[in-house]
Parts: sequence; structure tokens; C-alpha cells
Amino acid sequence: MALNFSHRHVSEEPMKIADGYLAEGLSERNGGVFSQPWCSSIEKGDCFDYGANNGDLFSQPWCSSIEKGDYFDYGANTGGVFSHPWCSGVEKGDCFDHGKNVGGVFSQPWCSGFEKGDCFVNGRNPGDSASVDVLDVLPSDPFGMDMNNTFTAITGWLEDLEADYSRYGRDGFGFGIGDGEDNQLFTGLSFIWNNAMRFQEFSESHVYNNLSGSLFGFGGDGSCPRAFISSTSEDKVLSRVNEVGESSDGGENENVHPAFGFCLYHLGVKDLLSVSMVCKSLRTTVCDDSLLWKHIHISQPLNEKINDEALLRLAERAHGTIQCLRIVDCSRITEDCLRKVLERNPQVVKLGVPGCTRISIDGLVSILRDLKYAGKLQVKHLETGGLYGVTKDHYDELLDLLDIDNNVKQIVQKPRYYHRGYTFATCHDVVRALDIEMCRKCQNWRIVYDCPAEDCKGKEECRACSLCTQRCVQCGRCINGVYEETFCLEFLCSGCSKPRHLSFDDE
Amino acid sequence: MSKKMIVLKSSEGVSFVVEEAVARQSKIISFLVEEFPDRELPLTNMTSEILRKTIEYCKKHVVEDDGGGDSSSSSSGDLKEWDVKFVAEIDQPRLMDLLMAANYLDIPSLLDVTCQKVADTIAACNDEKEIRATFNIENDFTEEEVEAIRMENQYPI
Repeated sequence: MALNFSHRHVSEEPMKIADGYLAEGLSERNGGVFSQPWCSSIEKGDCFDYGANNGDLFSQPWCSSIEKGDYFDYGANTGGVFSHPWCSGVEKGDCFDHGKNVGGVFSQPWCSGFEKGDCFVNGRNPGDSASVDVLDVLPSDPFGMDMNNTFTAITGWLEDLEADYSRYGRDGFGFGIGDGEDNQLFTGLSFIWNNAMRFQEFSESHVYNNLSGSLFGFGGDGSCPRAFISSTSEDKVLSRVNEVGESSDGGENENVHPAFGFCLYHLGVKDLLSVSMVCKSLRTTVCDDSLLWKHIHISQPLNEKINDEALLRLAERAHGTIQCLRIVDCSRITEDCLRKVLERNPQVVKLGVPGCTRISIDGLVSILRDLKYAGKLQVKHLETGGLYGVTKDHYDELLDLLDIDNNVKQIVQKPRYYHRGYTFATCHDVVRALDIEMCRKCQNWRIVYDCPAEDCKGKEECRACSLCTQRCVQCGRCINGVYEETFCLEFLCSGCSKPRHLSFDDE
Repeated sequence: MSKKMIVLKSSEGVSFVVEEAVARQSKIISFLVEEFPDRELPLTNMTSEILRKTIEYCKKHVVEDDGGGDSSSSSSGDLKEWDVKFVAEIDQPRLMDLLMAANYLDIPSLLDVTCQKVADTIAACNDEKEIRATFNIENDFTEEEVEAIRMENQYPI
């Protein structure tokens, strides 16, 4: 493998790069611009803004196949970007920063697809002017370190890429596992194979997190002011961009009535997402206000599309303050994802997973059990939606986990009627501690329905699960005598089926 | 017993005379009345129209603590219906102003009812374009940003 190290110092002037990238320095003292055109079909441009003494712009539009733009955030006196486009389909993002007061960019074309003079800008040594041919001014060892060693370390690190949550610290010029130091930076890591790898050097000590896939890394001792970045925080990137944009535009979008902000608390997830696409200021408001995301209720039509990553990203917006999590018919959500969300949101009081086919009762109980042992379980209302295969052991354990006193539970419940759509319920409708109980007829733990029919009220006869007693999908009453079977093999009682006939006749 | 009256003045300088009990539904006015009795209260950030609407709402919702019984004693169900009708009759921009007035005067029930109405309007929109059209908001995203969001939304969110 051949390595080219590119390095150059430039002044802080805005600079135009041959490929048509405009890079503009942001800060007075440390303006670094880093911009890179990658492939022709560039879809994404991201902009990054950094801490007080470090204004860096990092623009990284790259190939269409890239799914993750990463954002890097730095502490007060340090800042560095390391972008690492490697190969087309890679989803990891990373960043690190290096060196002591060294401003440098280090570029490493891996495969042929990379053009050398692409763009490396770094503001540290004002006075050096940008020259046309980057290679001419690039020292072979820009950081005064032994590149061979570094490269060996980098290679080793690449091999370890798949390791999740690994955190590396570097002191001086060697890579190694390190732990929190005052100036640690935690940053996301981005790899795009097939292209090149660049380093940008900055001061003090460094840490980077290797965040892979949908996992998040949290690092260190919190001494670094803005130091947590996750690889799925594109929304943050965008909102950050928005803030930058807004401040340059001179404030909020004046079109948006201030009253709008009050109404957002009355909106559900789907509408919040729509609102976030209306304009910049609303997007910032929606994405940054963790209170808006305290109740996450996902049902039609989002349920079909939402997957683990999307849910994690949504949950991320609440910053650990979700109180009610209800995902209805979300067949793509896995137990792993649910576990992660609950671990990060220890305040969840109401949990509902009706119709989530990938979540089993075993998994659910084990998640709750682990949370309980970790002391993070606040769930008081659990809606299982009648998961299949609940045993007495499960049921007893759930009662124990949710701190339900079995005797008290019986009293407070209002009747529940069978209806096709439990999906229509909202977070506020989840009032029961646990939605399953033992059906007296089949002795299984299922959702047991009451009968709304006048002549059945108060009687226990037809109070049973949906398998033991056939019920009308419209009104929920038990069916005895005349009924109609619908096309979907559901039943309609005689009372509910008549109007349908009439409407057919009309047509 | 004659009821104590309070004078509220809108931004146009129009004075409204209302019963104290009515005006006291606003926590701000309630406070001001105690601090500055017998004075005209200028509400400079409220137009007469909005102020009139606010007073109309307060009159309907006033709870008579003396004598009890038949003030505008509608049952809570009727009151809710009236609220729905009340906000349904107001057009969009005025509703927003009324919401701001409710917030400023600190009338929680009015704030709630107006917020819910606006939220329902938002929820009734199918996509962001419709929201922009309904609330007359300009799209200030650039093409690239729209693209970036769209990429993000493929996830779908």
C-alpha cells in the first residue's frame, strides 16, 4: 500500500479549491477549513462548527452511498478533524485529533480513486500561503513524528474497526488505549473505504471513539465541554448547521409565528417530524427540545417504516427523558433496540409494545429484569398487546418487576372492550399496570375482554380472551346467534352488520 | 352588591370595562389588580379585537364564587362544546394572536384550547408543504439541506 502524506499550512483566508469547493475560514484564531469533494454524485454537505478558539469548517460531501455523515465537536482549545473515506459502503465515521499545536492535514490515498490535491486546509500557521501544488509544500513527516510507527498503529486500528465502543487515546504521537484526560475529545468516526484517509492535527491529547453501526459511545469524564458525539446524530449536525445558518442570517425565521412553539407540545411524533421539515428555525426547535420527545408514540403510518436505527435516533432527541414509549405494530423493531432505548431512558413509566412481532415475552421479561437489577426500571404500566406464549412464570415475574400487587390490581380497572384497533389508543389511554391476565376459560395469560352488551354486563360468562369468545370487531360484544363473517374472517354481530348491508345496497 | 369593575386598555387605546371576577382569570391581571387597584390597565401588546375575544372567553368561563349556581353555569360538556366552537370561528392568524394573548395574560385554559386547535390544524396537514401553505411559512432550506434531510428520512426519520 502506498501512502502519501499531504500536509500544508495555510493562512486563514477563504480559499477556493480546484475542485470547485469553496472553503471559508470561520474563526479568527484558528480557522481551518476542510472540504472535500468525493464522488461526482455528491449528496451531502455538512458543515461543522467548533468551540471557542477553533473555528473549523468541515465540509464533506461524499458519495451517494454514504449513509452517515459524522460530525465532530471539540473542546475549547483543541480541534481536529479526521475524515476517513475508505470504501464505498462503509458506515462508520470517525474523527480524531492529534498533535501539539500542530496544524496539519494528513492525507492518505488508499486506492486509486483519490486525487491528491483535493483539499487540505488547516489554519494554524498564518503566514504560509496556499500554494497551487499541495505536494510541493507537504513535508514528508508533517508532525515530526515517526510516520512508520503511526502507520503501523493505524493499520492495526483498521483491523480492529469492527470492535464497538472502543476508545483510543493518544498521547504524544502513539495510538493506544487511553482513558479520560482533560482535553479528551470524543468524536465520531467515519470511514469510507476506497478513498483516502486524512488527518488533521491539533493540540494536546486525544481520544476517539469508534462508533459502529447504531451503537453509541459515551466517553470520558465529561471534562470536555461539548464532547459527546454519536454516529447517528445527523440531526444534531443539521441543527448545528441551522444554528450557524441562523446566526449568520441574523436570527429566526420571521415567518414563523411565535405561537407555533406552544403548539408543538400537542403534536405527535409524525407531526413533529413534518414540522421539522418546514423551515430551519422550526427544525432547530423540534430537534433540540428534548421535552417534545418525552412521549414517543409510534403507530400508523410510521410503524411500517421505522427500524432500529430510526427509533434510536428519535429516542436520542429526548436526551434520556422519555417517559412514555409506545411502539405499535412496529415489526422491524428488535429486542436489542428496545433494550438500548430503555437503558438510556431510565425514566420510562409507560411502555407499550403491542403488535411488535420481533419482541417476544422472553425478551421483554429479560430486558425488564436486567433493568431492574441495574436499578433503572421505572416502568409501571406495561402494554404487551397479548404476546404469544406467556406462562405463569412470565406473568408472576412481570407482576414482581412492575411492583404490582395482584389483589389491588383487580379493583381499579375499568372494563375493556374488544376492538379491532388497540392501535388507536394514545399514551394517556395506557392506565392499566399490565394488560394481560388469566383467561378463565383457557387458563392462558392473554388480554381478557369485557362484553359491552347490556345483557352480558357484570356477568363473567363471556369475559374471556379473544380466542375463547368470538366478538364483533365493531362493537366488541360477544357473538351468539346471528353474525356475519367479513372478508377478513372477522365477525360482525347482527347489529353492526346491518348498516353495512344498507350501504352496499345504496351503491 | 355592585361588582367591582376593571378597565383594560388595548393597544389602540380602546377601553374595556369588565367585572373583576372575569378579568381575574388572567393571573397577570389578577396580580396587577392587587398591586394597582383602581387603575386602568394598559395592555399595549394586544389589539382590541384580540382583547375582545379574550374577554368573551373569560366571561363564558367565569366561575361565580358568590351565590353559586347559575352564573353562565353550563355543564363542563357544554363548555367544551362552546370552546370548540369559539376557536373554530377564529381565523388562523387571529388564533395565533389569541394564543399569544392567552400566554401573555396567563390564562391556562384558553392557552390549552387554542394550542390544541392549532395542533389539530398542523396534524391535519399531510406534509410539510401543506403546513407551510397553511401557516404561511417560507421554506428557507437550500436544495442541499432538503436533500440531506431526505436522505435522513429514508431511515425514515
